[in-house]
Amino acid sequence: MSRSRVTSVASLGARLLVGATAAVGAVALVSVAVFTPWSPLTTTPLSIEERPAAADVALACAGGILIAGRLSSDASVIEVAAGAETTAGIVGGSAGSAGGADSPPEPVTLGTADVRGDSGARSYREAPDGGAPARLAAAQASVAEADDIRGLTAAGCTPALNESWLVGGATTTGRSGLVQLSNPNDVAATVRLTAYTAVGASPVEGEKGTVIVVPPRAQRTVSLAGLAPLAANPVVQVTAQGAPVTATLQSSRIRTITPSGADVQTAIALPAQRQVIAGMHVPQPPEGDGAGGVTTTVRVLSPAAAGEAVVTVTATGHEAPALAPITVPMEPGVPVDVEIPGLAAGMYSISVVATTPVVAAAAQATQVGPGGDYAWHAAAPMIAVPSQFAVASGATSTLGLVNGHTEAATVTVVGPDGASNTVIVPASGSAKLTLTGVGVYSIDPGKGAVHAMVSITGPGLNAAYPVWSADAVNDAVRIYP
Amino acid sequence: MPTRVHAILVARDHAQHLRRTLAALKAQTTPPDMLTIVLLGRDEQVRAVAAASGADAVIAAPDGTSYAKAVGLASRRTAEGSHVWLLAQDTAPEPQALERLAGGLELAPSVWVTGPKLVRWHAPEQIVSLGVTLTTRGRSFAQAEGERDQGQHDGMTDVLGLDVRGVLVRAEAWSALAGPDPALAGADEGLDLGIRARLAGGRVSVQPLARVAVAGDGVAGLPAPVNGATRARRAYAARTALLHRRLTFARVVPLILWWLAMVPVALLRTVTLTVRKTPGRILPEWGAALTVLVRWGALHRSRQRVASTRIQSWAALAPLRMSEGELRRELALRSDEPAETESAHTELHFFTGGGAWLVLAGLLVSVLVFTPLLAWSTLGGGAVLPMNHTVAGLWADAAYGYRHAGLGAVGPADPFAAVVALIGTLTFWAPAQALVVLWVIALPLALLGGWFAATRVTDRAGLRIAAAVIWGLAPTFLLALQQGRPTGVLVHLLLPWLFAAGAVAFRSWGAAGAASLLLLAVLACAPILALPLAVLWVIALVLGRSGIARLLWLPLPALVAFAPIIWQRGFVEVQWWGLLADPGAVWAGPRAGADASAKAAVAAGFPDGGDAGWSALSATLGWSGGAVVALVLVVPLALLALLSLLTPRLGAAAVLIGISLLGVGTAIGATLLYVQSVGEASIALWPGAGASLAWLGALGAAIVAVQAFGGTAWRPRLWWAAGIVTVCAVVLAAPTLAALTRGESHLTNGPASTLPAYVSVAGVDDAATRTLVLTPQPDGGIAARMVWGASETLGGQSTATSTARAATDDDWQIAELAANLVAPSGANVADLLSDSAVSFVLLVETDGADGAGAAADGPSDLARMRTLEASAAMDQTPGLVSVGHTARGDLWRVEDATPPTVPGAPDGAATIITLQLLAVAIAILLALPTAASRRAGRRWPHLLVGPSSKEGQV
Repeated sequence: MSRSRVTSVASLGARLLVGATAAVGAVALVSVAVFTPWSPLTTTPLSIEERPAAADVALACAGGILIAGRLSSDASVIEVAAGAETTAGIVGGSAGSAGGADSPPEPVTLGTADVRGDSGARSYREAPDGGAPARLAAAQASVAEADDIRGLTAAGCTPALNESWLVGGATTTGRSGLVQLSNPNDVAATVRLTAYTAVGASPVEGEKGTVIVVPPRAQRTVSLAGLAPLAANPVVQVTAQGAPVTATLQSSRIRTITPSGADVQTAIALPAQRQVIAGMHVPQPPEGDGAGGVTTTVRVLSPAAAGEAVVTVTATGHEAPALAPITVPMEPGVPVDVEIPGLAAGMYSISVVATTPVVAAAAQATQVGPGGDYAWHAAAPMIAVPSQFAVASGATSTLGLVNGHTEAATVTVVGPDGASNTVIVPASGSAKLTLTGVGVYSIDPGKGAVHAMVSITGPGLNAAYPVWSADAVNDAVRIYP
Repeated sequence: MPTRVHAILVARDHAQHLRRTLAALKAQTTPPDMLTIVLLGRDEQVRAVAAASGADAVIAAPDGTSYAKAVGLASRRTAEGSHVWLLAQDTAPEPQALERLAGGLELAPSVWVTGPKLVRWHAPEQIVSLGVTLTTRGRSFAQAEGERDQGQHDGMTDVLGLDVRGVLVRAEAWSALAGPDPALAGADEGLDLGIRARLAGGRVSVQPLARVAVAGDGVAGLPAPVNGATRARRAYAARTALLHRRLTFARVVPLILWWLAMVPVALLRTVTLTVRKTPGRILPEWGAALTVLVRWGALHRSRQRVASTRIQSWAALAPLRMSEGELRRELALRSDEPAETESAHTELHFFTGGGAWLVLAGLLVSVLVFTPLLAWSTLGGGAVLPMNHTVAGLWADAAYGYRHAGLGAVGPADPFAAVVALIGTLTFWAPAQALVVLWVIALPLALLGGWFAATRVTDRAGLRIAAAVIWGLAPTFLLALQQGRPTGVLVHLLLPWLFAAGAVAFRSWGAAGAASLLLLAVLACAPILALPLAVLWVIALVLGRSGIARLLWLPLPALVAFAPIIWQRGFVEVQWWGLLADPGAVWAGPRAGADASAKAAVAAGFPDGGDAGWSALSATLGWSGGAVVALVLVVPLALLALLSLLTPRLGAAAVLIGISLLGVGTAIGATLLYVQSVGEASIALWPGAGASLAWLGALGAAIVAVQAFGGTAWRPRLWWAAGIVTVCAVVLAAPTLAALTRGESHLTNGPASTLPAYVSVAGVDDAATRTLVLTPQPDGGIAARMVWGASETLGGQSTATSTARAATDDDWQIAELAANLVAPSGANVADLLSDSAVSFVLLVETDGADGAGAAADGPSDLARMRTLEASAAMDQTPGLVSVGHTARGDLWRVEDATPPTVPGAPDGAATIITLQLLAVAIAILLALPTAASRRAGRRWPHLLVGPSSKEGQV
């Protein structure tokens, strides 16, 4: 082999070695690039939290207890079974009952064309005070004791919403419900009502669609049975266009011939993956009541997607759940009723945590057998800013508080008499506070965030309503410019 | 007795040259009677040689002294009645040179100046100069320069002027003419001397038999053009001499005219020099013009010199001058000579090699694939937005100034807007159609580009066609077409041309000019490619041996075009990553996720992290392995590319694989850079541009592999391999090509406007109509965007908006307006609306598919809630009139809308636009082919990777 040949073979070998190394290196580099879990460089989109200039605060109160079909001559007539006690006031102002000439907020009587007589439907409107929305609160309570209807109803007067969910009521035998749509604005509202029942959402468009025009400063009343006939667990979605409305649901029940409760419930604003029923009072059942019966029901609806919800019932002030958490499978658009058996008397809070956004409410009856009363407890929104609420009934009122955060919250509640109560709600825990009586209360969650619910009890009577956050009327809007 | 001769020799450096010159002087048959050496500078060796030379005097002068001044120093020593012989360190006369020169003066008493035939230092048969003449337009022309001496000029006597080296000046003439003019900066001193002698009534002759060898050291006469510095010096000296000559010999009125025309002429010549691909001569041109422009004293002295001796008119010189026609003939003769060097060039065989047929076939396939597009008037879908409907509007979007968005802040435009404007201008009668046309001809264009890029790496017709097909059917390209991503499509169309031009930018200004323009266009479409291309550029600079200036030019137009954006985004907003943001519409679209399988798909060339439609196709057949098939189809190309590293073309293969790796890195990097946002959604960069680059490198390497093995015994097998890769590419592309018919394409016919027709009609009439577009976000926030005119446009999009991280005053103003619109408000909304000069408010209906990040089954509850609340709030807002529900959402008209104030042009806009246009114009002038540049181009081989013939050892 000649010298040049040796050199050429050697250089060939060297070249092949270099080439092969480079090839392996290239493959290795790509593999490293692919399999290294690089952390992405993410920048937060520019957004501006802008609070709109404070507008007038307008609250609508549903009114007293109504009853339909009392007249055999005209079953469609709705009559007033009991008027309403209204309490309204501004935090810092003096509280008074409706009609009191000296009370600062001046009520406007809502037109109730569907009801014979004055039901007590009112609206309050208050201009902003020094750039901040007026801290207006109002509530109504009503007691009916008649042959065909009996019970205590109580509800906060709430601001109007473009979308609300009414979770409660039924239209099976003995049960009836009325959807009340109050429009406190100066513009007519076009409201679509969609009922979710065991067969899913009712059609909105077309002839069967339920579209109702609510005139300005008026209340329309619609029978729940018309929306969801023979439904055991309906949920109604109220969508308003043109102007927001305040939606409430009044329901009542008769067992055989014994009136067994009435209730007015306020709406839930928005489906969420966590709903909290902040305070539910389970009364001591009367002697001889049907043992083993269930007085507590939780209704859950996932409007859009299938998923699972976990219902946890915890006695107020305790950390451990009172019962093992109940897992509820959900079909989209089909409400589910979960019966909660065997709760001892006392105050409870219920949380519903779901894989998809849900709406939830709980019903509590005072007794298993005929008679008594029941109350729907709609899920309470989170309160993170100083807010206010009113109590209209003289019966025993309790404020249930549930911490929405994982840090303890110091909640200050100032009553109508100016007495200040400070309640410490432990992290992810609950607490309760007995309210002193009729009037307007302010609630300040400090740096924390709580859910709050007013629960009213009397002998064989109960009612409850959630406390709304003040930022429901003047919340900051996140703008992406 | 012959007249005495005083030889004046000026020396600076090159002792070796000086030694030969002095030896040649000593060897003269009639040596000069007196020798004065002028030493410039402090070169010790030269000093020693001069000291040992036995010269009559050695005068030291500073280094920078010009030849004319140096001669002036020595001429004081000239004895009365002595001829003066002008020499330099590098002028070695043949033994009889002086005798013949002196003889010339003796024989003809009318001759004032005579000079030798100058020949090359080491090649005495090559003539350097035999007399210098003037053309009718005043250029100097060295006669017989570069010719082979065959005695063909030995009969010459009378000339107009001479090269100053070796000139012998009659004694009387020397005192009258006062030596060479020091104002000439080193060129044409002999010519000037000759003209003055002629005007003074003397003659100037050349003695062709007296030969002097010259080296071109530049001490006397012009230095030899060996490098950039000497070339620039020659250009400066020649131009200064010409301009100075013009002013010196002109009458007063023409003198003033010439003087006034100096700067305009320099401007004009700048353009000419750029077109001639000699940008290196632009600075000397300006130097010369400015020098002559301000040198009043020197001009006065020169004119005095002429006036003191002049007795003849210029007309007397006419017979000795050269007409422009003669000059052109001479130049043509000279330039035709180096014909033997053209052999390196080969024809491309675009038509005979099947390239043209391939492009035609591509057009046919494209028409079949995009048949519906033929009837469309406006392209829509994906990241495609309508075009501005006027050409003026297109270019206004592309220029620095008031942005036609938001509240009209001043800011830079994305360079991509200029690309859009250029494309839109091509169909100026209906700019919207440009994109439709682009989409239809994109595939044949890609084939064309791929084919031409392939000519750089292979000379085989078959391989070029294979490369073109694989390039044109790259998954990233087809995906960009089907998803509607204009930037991705354009990058893929431009990259092969950038490769073809950029690869030879180092050797020709034409290629450098073209490559710089292509680079600008590519970066305008995909700024993220700046990273890999910068790496390649730096490597080229470090490794490059020649053409540094051309390489340095490459990024300049892009840098100038991006300068306002770099300043704004980088230095003002301190958002360097934002510079990489994809221009045009920001559209989330299908994108690669963060998991390894998605990144592997991106690395394999599928920028959406998918599989080019294969899994969807196999799913319809009830099989789930489609994704694997897609990856397997890419493997042959990758293997062949890696094989190139084992061929003898290791260097080229390494470069191409390097390009591919950089591309893969860029693509994967792009999936990690969430620097843009639409509403609440952060969006990563589009990895398609990086994938295109990776595909380019891999394809090039694969072709190199086949090409390098082509001449060996393996050849049949590797042809087969190339065939397999091509077939794989075709099969791989099939589902994506059919996406439009399968209904998986995002392309739509229109819309012509992103706004409701009601608004766009108003916007066509008044381009300043402002529409506040409110888009509810899944988190309950609301995106507020101000749209001007008839529609959002592709060119009007700005990365300033999509990368913004800090709110400006305008943002706050829009936010305040939007917040008070979408929620019940106690503010005077009418005032806010008129402050922002809003005419319409559009509340966009998010249907899930459109809103970025919205769930597939519709808008989120929060977004729905926000929509309802905003709608109700605006219905109750005084001053807003509901127009109704449109296909785009709910529309409100502002009653008594305030027309926006039209601002004047912002400060500095004209300067910035001019500078940008200037950079682009220079690049275009450089890129324009001329006869000379085409001729020069033929001297180079087209193929960069050597042909297969030489190799046979693998």
